[in-house]
Amino acid sequence: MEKSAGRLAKQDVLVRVSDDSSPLHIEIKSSVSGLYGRALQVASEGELKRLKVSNGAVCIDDNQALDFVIRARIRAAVYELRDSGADI
Amino acid sequence: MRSYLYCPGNNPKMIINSGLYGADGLIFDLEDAVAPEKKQEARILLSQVFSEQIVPVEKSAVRINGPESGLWEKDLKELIPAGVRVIRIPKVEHSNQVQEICGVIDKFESENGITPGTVVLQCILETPLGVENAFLIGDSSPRICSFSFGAEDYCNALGIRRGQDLLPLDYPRSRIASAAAAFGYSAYDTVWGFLDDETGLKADAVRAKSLGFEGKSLIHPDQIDIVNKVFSPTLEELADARNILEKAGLTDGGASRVNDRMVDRPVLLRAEKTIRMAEEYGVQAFTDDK
Repeated sequence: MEKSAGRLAKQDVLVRVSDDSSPLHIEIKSSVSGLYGRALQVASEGELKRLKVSNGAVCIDDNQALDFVIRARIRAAVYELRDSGADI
Repeated sequence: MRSYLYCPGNNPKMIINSGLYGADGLIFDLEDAVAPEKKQEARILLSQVFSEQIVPVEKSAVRINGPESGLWEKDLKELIPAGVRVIRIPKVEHSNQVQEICGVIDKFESENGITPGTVVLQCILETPLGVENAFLIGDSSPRICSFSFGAEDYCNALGIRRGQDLLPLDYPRSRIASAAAAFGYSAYDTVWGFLDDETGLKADAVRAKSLGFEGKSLIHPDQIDIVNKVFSPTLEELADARNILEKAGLTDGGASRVNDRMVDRPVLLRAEKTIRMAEEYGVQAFTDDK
């Protein structure tokens, strides 16, 4: 099962989260990954850790979103997946 | 507040830029601007915005989903802990709707250690029933701080076409402004939807001001300057207010004559308010001849 939040518009991010039993895997794509790839990774991992997500797959398509947007979209996608009964 | 700019609640770019245009207040919208399937992610985005203070929280409100939507409680549950303190409620028609919402706010304030009564309400009256019930709605909760008029639904209900003819809206505007004044609330006028018609916007705002409104809700940043100007004191009003206060200060405090006009307490209060507004909004004509 997969759920998403956000979109690929400027200064937004599309976050897709799917549940499986394998260890957490995070994939980040961004047009500014050269400059901000590390910051994106830190923001994403931090929010997933805060939400106690330790398994599943998270795909992040960034279009120059600020950190607060990334955190919000990850939270929204994870909540939606959990609301649908997934164990993540 | 002279100008209250609406901003879609699920658009990060617009949210980030919303404070840059000079509106006195901002309204982040969870109602009409957000598709049904996007409500939850918009709530979460706004909660992040407020908790991280991405926008000027002290001048920002959130328009939640309406009393009959079945969504407003989820909105409040997400927003109040995040720091939202001004809630705009659309399509208010009955006092019991406000009371029901206040009961839930009471609960969320208590659960989150927020001083009771901190969260305040702006009620939008936008149907004939809401307009007719304005006084009862105004009397329903001490949390209410303002009324807003919503003309589009009102016009639809009456079969009125919104446009240059401002007369049909005088009645609801007057009723709302008067009910607001009865409780000491602010009154904010409806949006002007014709984005290229600046002349119409100005006329609409002037009419609303003449009927007692303090400001206007807006849907585009280009409307801010026009509306701010309309709802600011004019140079003539400022000079008049200053003249009244100076001359009246020479009397024993009762009614007096300033030029061709009787000046008594209501006139003095209005002059003082004009000076306060000028100071608040940076209008400086009152110091010209000092």
